[in-house]
Amino acid sequence: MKHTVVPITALLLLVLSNEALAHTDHDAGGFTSGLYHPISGLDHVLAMVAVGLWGAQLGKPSIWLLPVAFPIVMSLGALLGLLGMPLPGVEIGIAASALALGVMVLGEVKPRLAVALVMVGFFAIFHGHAHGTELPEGQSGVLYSIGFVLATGTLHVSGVAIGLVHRWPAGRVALRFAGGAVAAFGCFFLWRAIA
Amino acid sequence: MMPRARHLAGATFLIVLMWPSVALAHLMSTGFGPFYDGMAHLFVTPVDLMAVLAVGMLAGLRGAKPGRWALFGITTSWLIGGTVGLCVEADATPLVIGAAAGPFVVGLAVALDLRLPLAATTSIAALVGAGFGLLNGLSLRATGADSLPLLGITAAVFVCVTLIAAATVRVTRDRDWRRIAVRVAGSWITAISLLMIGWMLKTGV
Repeated sequence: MKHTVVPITALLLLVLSNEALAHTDHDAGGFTSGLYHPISGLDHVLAMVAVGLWGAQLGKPSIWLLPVAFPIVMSLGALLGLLGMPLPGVEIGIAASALALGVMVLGEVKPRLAVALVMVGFFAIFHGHAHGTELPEGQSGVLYSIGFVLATGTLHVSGVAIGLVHRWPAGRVALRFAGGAVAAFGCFFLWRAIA
Repeated sequence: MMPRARHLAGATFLIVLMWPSVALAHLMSTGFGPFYDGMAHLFVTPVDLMAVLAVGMLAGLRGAKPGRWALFGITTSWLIGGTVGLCVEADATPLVIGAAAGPFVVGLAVALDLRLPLAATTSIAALVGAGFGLLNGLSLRATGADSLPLLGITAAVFVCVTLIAAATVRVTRDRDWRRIAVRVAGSWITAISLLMIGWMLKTGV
């Protein structure tokens, strides 16, 4: 079987090969820009990983519901940003998200599912809005969006994967320490956003 | 299939999906003729591919029977919509946002794992197929193409929905987490579609 899969792979990639693009502002640059955008800021990264960590602590169904809710609501926030609708205190909201989610992981807080969803969704709006207003001109919207959502989702999945250490006693402690670190960074980001 | 070969096939599929390419109003040239140009068109048009993915997953989540009905629903309506698009003179621009709304709605239904009746699943598949087919037909007409590329696109849609729906039925049968993975994929399609709609509204398509 593997003897046939490899040539088929090579053939597919050859058939689908595109022209070499020397200019970085070409439409095809949208995918990599989108992929890079969510990981370009530590505040975004920490908050998104913290969503996965918290989901893992909360267990089923939060372990997958939180990472599902975040990208959808974040896209809604990005839509608002794209349409030019103002949202006050975006930077403060993003910093507060890292702080609040870090505190939740640190304290292993287990609220009702609806509360956790509303909280994650609320902060997702700020992250999305920031991304929506910062979208670069002259890129392919479709490819940018695909890269953007894939990167965000991957950060959540990474958080969930790390959070799976929660099943071991030492892992629980490590996870709470990680939450504390996220919260500490959140404090720093909040101080920077306010100052 | 051997596990390694299966992983390789999965990685290939992912690479093909993520392969960065420009959204082309004109068909890409494979060198094999218009039918194969049409087949390739689906794989280099992310919006169309997302719609096909979403419909396949939605139908597959409901089981084999809805999968079969959705398969024939989307393929037939794609062909009919495309034929209409080839025959009429119209501006395709307003349809583009509607087309992005298709994967949004279907992706949301996948994410929520909505227990839709057979008629609803088939109707959604048919609606999505008709919309995208019409858009393809209008675009093909604008480029002066004949019906062969449309047949190629429809054949590719048929193959893709068959594979995706069948794979979804198979992988979600035993394991809960695999069903969750499909639902997560649905949420990602929803998020991407929403962003695309925003982008289209911002740029005026």
